[in-house]
Amino acid sequence: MQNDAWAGGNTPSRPLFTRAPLTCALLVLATLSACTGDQGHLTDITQPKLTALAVADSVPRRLTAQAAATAGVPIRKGESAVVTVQSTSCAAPGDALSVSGAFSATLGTDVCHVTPAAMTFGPATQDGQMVFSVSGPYGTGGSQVSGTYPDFTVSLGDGYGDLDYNDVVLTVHILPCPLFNGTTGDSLLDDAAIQRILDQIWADSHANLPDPQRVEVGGMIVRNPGGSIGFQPFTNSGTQACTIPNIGPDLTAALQANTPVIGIIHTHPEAPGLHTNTGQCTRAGPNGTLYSMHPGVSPADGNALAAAGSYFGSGVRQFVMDADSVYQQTAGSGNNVVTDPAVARSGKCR
Amino acid sequence: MIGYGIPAAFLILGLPGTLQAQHGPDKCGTAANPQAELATFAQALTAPFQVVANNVVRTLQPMAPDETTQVMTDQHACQRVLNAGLKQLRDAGQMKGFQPTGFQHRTYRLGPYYMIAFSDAPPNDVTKPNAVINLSPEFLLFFDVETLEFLGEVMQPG
Repeated sequence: MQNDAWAGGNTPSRPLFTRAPLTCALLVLATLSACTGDQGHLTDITQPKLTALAVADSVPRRLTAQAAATAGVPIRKGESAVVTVQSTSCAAPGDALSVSGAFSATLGTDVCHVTPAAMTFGPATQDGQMVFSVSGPYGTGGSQVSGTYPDFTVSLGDGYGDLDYNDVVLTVHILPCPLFNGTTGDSLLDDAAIQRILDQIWADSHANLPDPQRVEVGGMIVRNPGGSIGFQPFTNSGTQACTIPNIGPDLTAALQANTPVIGIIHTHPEAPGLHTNTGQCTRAGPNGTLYSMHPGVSPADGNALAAAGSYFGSGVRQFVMDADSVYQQTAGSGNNVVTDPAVARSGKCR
Repeated sequence: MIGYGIPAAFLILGLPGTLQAQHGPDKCGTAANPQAELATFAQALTAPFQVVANNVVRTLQPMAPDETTQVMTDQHACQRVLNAGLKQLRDAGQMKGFQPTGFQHRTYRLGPYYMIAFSDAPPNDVTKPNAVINLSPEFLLFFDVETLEFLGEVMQPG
């Protein structure tokens, strides 16, 4: 903690050992009274901690900025972030709160005294990290990050050197890359966690690369014990451009593990005009070459959903995503599969 | 999905005689919900598709009388298209791509083209542990209606 009272003048009141010059520290055991610092406030001068001060320890710790950890909040291309300062525990004037990395901005220039308003950044132009810092009279402090997507807490030090990481505490809420134009009305498709999964598997499909880098990626959407959404990739995900072979053992394993599978998802890394290469999904006819780009869900995909429905009950969903749309189906009773209207992608993400 | 499986190895050796009979399995196909698929296929024959199709299959003109699309029911015509389609799959070595339960198919008329779609038949028994379930592709083969000339193929990812 360093919310000690501002002692007047232009210099913060601090325990001597943190800001006194080296020469003063050398003399501390012999002439305590002489080491009054530049303000003469020696409230901590007789504390055991100070009396144990040795030469090696006498280097002002606030200058050893490299000792402070620095952590960032991960953010992906297309995502935005809402940053809200939750609390401050500092007193120095002119402490600036800034962010670097994925975004560069100053959120406040006197954060200890004027709490910045919540700010929204984004969308990010590329994958990266948001690194926050507080800089002021003591230098630049480090940061600690806790939490999981989409909510993170960042605890910041101000460089004073006590490594308390409570001088500024802020939260970062990640807004998903808008896969769709507005909400779809579908509770699963509108779920931020699922949109992030879809975004990730699309990125992992490398749709703009030639075969064999271009691959179908997919897996199972599961409900975690705490109710959150999880993703378990298919064992054979990412191995071929036009198929994911044999997902049966994955469904069986989930069933045997009593893992609730609420959906199966995979990509079709296709789009009109996306491919100029020949590859696994193409075949030359006598008059030319037809490229794979037929939209929608293949009959085999429907068969797979029917199988998943037989394992996990009707209502299991299927999402198949290509560059333009997310196609969806729902498992009904008796191996029936209902094809739901496709949802166009916004095109703003990967 | 409802379908009948024809083991791939069986087809490599030759079509069964029953497929030539008038009262055998539906020559026009077995894929479920063909009307819904028809709408998707017709949608595929639009300008963006024509670009990637290298102009082998032209864009349909929805309002023209000869540009109609339909799910085929003419058993004789379907038999000819099925035979031609199977020959193309065999020649291209694509028969081995079907899972052990075989394939299902459905034949369509898309304007001046016949299109036959081949895909995996449904898994035999998904109640068995580790049933073979593939997210496998669908093969769309285009033929000229008048000459039955093979024009080209689109592989729909699975």
